[in-house]
Amino acid sequence: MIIPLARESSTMEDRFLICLVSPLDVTTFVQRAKVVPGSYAGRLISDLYEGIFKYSLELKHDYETYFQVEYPTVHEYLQRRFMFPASIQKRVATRYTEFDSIIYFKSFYTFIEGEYGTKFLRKLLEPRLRK
Amino acid sequence: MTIAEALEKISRAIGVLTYQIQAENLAGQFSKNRVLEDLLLPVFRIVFSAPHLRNANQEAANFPYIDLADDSSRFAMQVTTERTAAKIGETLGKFLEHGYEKKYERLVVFVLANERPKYTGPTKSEWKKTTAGKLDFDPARDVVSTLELYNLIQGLSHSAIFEIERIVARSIVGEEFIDVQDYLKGQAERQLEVEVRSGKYIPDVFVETRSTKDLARNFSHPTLFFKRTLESLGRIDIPHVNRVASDAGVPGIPLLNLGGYSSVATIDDAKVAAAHVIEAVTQAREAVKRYTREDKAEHERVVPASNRAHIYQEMKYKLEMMTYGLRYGTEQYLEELVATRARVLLLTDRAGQGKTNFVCDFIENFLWKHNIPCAYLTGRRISAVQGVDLGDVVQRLIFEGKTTSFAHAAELLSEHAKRSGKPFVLVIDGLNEHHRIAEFSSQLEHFIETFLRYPQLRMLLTCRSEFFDSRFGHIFKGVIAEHTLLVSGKPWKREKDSDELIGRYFDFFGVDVRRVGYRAIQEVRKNVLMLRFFCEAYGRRGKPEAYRQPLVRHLYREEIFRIYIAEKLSSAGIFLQRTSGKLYPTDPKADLKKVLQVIAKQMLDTWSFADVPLSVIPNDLRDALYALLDEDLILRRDIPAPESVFSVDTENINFTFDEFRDYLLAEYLLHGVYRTDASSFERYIAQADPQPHQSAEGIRRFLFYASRRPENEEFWKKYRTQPWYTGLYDEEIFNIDARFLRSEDRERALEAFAQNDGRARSFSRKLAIRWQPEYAPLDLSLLIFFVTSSADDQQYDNLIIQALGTRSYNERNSLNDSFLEFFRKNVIPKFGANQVLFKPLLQLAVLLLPVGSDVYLNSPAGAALREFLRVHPEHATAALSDSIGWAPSLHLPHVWRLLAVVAGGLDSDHPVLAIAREQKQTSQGVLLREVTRFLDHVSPQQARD
Repeated sequence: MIIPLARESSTMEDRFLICLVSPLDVTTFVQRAKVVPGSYAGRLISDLYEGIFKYSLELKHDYETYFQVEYPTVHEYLQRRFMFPASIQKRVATRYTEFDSIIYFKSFYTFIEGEYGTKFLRKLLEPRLRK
Repeated sequence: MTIAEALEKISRAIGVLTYQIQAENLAGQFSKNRVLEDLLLPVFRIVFSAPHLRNANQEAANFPYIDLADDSSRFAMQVTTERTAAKIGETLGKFLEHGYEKKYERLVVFVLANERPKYTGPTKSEWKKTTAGKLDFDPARDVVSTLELYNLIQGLSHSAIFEIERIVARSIVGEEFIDVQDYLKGQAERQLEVEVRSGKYIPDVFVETRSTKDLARNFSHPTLFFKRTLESLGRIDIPHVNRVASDAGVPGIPLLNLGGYSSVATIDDAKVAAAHVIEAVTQAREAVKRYTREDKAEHERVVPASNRAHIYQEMKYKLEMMTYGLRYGTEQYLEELVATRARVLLLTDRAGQGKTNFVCDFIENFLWKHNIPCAYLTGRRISAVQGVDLGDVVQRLIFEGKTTSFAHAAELLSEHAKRSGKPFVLVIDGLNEHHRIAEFSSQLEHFIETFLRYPQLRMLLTCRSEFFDSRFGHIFKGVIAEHTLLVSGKPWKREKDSDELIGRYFDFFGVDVRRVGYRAIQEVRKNVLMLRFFCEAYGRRGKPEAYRQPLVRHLYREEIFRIYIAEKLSSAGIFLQRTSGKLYPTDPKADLKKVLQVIAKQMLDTWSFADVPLSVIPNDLRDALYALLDEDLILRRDIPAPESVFSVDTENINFTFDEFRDYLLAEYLLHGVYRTDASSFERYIAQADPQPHQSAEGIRRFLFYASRRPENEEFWKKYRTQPWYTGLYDEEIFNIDARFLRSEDRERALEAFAQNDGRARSFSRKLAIRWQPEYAPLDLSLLIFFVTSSADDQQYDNLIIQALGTRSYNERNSLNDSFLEFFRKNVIPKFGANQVLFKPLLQLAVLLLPVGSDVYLNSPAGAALREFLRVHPEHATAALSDSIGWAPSLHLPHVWRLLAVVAGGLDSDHPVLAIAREQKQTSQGVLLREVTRFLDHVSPQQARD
C-alpha cells in the first residue's frame, strides 16, 4: 500500500507512506524499473532504493522500539508524532500487523512527483501479479 | 555507635531480611530485584571488594545467569532463592557456555535462604569437572547463604562495618528506610492534580511539538533516545552528497562513524558516546559550510578538479541545496546529543504558549510511563514554603521532612536513579511564578551548583522568556552553562485542527456541545483564551451538582466574563485565606477586589491600559495580588524592556486578556465611579484620544452591554445621550442577549430601514440571520414585516437584493447562498412539523427570488423554491400567492413563473386566478409575460369556470 501525503511546504518534498508486506531487495527493484544496472538510470534507481530502504524512517521499528511505551496505540503514535490525516491513520493502523515495514519516504526526486510519481512507486514496489 | 552496636543492627537486619524473603516467597510476592537493588548490591560492593558492582539485569543486553557484575574487579554474582544442586550446576554450565569466564574470574552464587545448603561429594566433583581449567569455583567459598553474609561482614574493617550499618539503616529492612519511589510518585501526582484542578493543565490538549519533546526525551532517557538519535543520523544520506561532490570534482564530506556507539548501556556510556558523536557531526557540518555559502570566503576558495570544472558549474547549486539540507537536518540531532549530555534542560517562551501543559503532559505520558524517577515542583509552590536554602525547600517538598538535608535527599535520589538505570528528573515549572523572584534567583544559582554534584540528577526548568533574560539569565553562565541546554521559543503547539482542540477543551470542562450554537463555536474558534473563558463560564466542571448548562447560541462576552470573574474571585479567595493565613470574616474577596480596583483606577487615571507598576499595589494587598497572579488568567506580571542602561529595574502588572480588562474597567466605571461620583465618570468617558483607542472602545462597548440590564436603567438613560452612542448602538445591539432588548430597539431598526442607506443594509444583514423567535423583537420577522408591508422596490432592492445577495457571509458564500443551503438542508425536509417557526424563512426565500437571476428568471432561490413546491405544493402555493400582495413588486415575475408550475392543479375558484386575470390587464413587460404564462398553464376547464 502506497499512500501519497501532502507535499511538505517547507522543503517541497513529496511524501509517501510505503507499507510493504514483505521485504524487497535492490536487484528486484532495479529489474522492475527496467533499467540497466550501472547505467545513469540504474544508478538513479539504486539511489531511489537506498532513499526508501536505508535513509527513510521505518515507522514500525520506530514505534515499537521507542514510542510504544508512550503511545499505547499505533493510531496515537501516527496522530501525535506525525499528525497524519485521520483517514490515513486509520488505513495504516487497521492493517498494521500485516505490514513487514511502514516507510515514511520523503522524495526529492522530480520523477517521483504527483500522480505519476505514485504510479511509478507502485510499479516498483507492488506491481500487480501477472497471470 | 560502637562496633558491637553496629554489628547487632546488621545482624538484626539480616534476620528481618531472611524472614521477609521467606514470608514473601510463601505469598508469591517476592521481588528479587527489590532486595538486590535496595540492600544487597551496596552491601556486596563492600563485602566482596567490588566497588563497581552493578545490576546486570537492567542492562539492555541482558546477561542470563548473572545478576550482578563488576567488570573492573572481574567479579560476577548470581542471586537465587533456589538452593538445589541442579540450579547451581545449571548456573555454572550456562556461565561457561556464554564464555563469561573470559570476562569474570570469580562467580559467587548467593542463595537467599536462612541456612547454608549442603551438597554431596559427587555433586561437588561434577562441578569441579565442569569448571576445570576455566573457572576457579570453590563451593565452600563461592556459595553463600543469607545468614553467612553476617559472618563475612564480621570479618571486615570497622569503617566498612559502619558503612554497611548506614546502608542497612536506610534499606527496606532499616528503621531509616524511605520509600523513594512512593514519595516521588505521591509528590508529582499531587502537583499534577493541582495543575489539573486549576485548569493550568488540560490533559490531552497538548499536541506535541516534536523538536522540543524529542530534546526532553533524550535528556530524560539518555540511554534509549541516544540510540534513536544515532539512527536518525544514520539516515542522513551523506554518500549521496559525496557522489554529487565527486561528480563535480570537489572533496566530499567525512562520513559519520556511528557504529561503535549503538550498544550504550549506562547513562555515563551515553554521555561519553554523545560527546564523540557531537564531534563527528560538528566536523561534518563544518565541512559542508564551504558548499552552503555560509562562509563566502571559503566558498570562493572551492576549486573543482580541472577536468570537472564545467560539471561543477552545473552541479554547484544542487550541491549547495543538498549540503544546506544536511546542515539544517543535523541541527536538531546535534541538540539531541547535547540534551543527552546535559544536566539542566531549560525551556523558555512567552506567556501562554503552553509550557505548563507541556511539562505536565511530559511527566504523565513520558516520565511515568518509562518509570523515570521524577519530582514536580513549580515556582509558585516553592514560594509558598519559607526557607533560605532552596535545596532544603526542595527536599522538604519531596520527602515531607523524612530527609534531614538536601544532601541526604540527593543521595537517596541518586541511589534510586542508579538502580533504575535512568536519571532522576527534577521538574521546576514557571521559575518566574515565584513571588520573590530576586531572592529565588540567587537561591537557584546556589542550588544548581549543589545539584550538579550529583551526577544521577537532572533538572528540567521552564520560565517565561522575558523574565528569564532579566532575572535568571545571569545564572546560566560559566560552569552551569556547560551543563545546560537552553531551548527558547520553539513553537509549542501544533494543533492543526481547531475542532479537535475545541473538542478537548469541551470534554475537559464538561461543556455540552449540543447546547452550544454554531455562531458561538465560530467565535471561540478564533481565540484560545476566549475558548478557555467560555468553557470555564459554561462548563459543568467545578459547578454544583444541579448545574444545567444554558443554551448558548451567541458569545455574550459580558455574561462570560461576569461568570468567570465571580468564580475566579471565589477560588482566589480560598487560595488567599490558605496562603496568607488571614481570616476574612465578612468577604474573603474584599482584598482581591481592592487590588483590581487599584489597577483599574491607575489605568483610568493615567489613561494607559498596560504595564501598571507593581509598586502601585499597597504592601498590605500583596498577598491578594499574588493570589490573583496565581489564577493566571486574570493578571500576569511583566517586565518592560529597559529603555536605557540606567532604567530602573521594575515589574509591571497586566491583564492577560484585553477584552477581559475592558470588561473590568467598564464594571469599575459603572459601579465604582458612576454611582458615587458622576462627574468623574463623565470625565473618564469623555476622555478623548487623538486616535481611536482600542481599550476606550472596549470600555464603551462593555458599558453599553451593562447599560442594557434592567437594573441599570438610570445609567442607560444617561449613557444613550453620549454623542457617539448611535455608532456604538449599531455595532453592539446585536451582540447582547435578546432578553435585554427593548421595544425601542424595534422602532430604531424600522427607522434605519426607512432611511434606505448603508446602515439599513447593515441592519438587514444582521436581522436576516436571527430567524429564531428568541431574538424578537430584533429578528428576521421584523425585516420581513418592513419589506412586505411598506418597502417600495428601491428599498426592496437595497435591503434584500443588495444586502443579502452580494456581500459575502463566510469565506465561501454570500448570505443568499448560505441561507439557501440551510433552506434546502433544514427547512424543506422539516417544514411540515415546523410551519410556524419556518414561516419567515420561507418568506425570505421568496424575497430572495430575484437575487442572482438570469434573463430567463432562473435564480438560486427559484431553484430552491421549485424543490419546495415539489415537496410541499400546498404550503408553497399559499406562500407564493400571499407574496403577490406584498408592497414591493420586483419579485412578482418570479412568483408567477413558479406558480405556473402548479397552475394546472389549482381550484377554479382559487383567488390567485382572479388576481392573475386582473394583473394581466394592468401589467406590462416581464410581469405581463409571466402572468400570461401562468394563465396559459391554467386548463380550459378552470378558465371557463
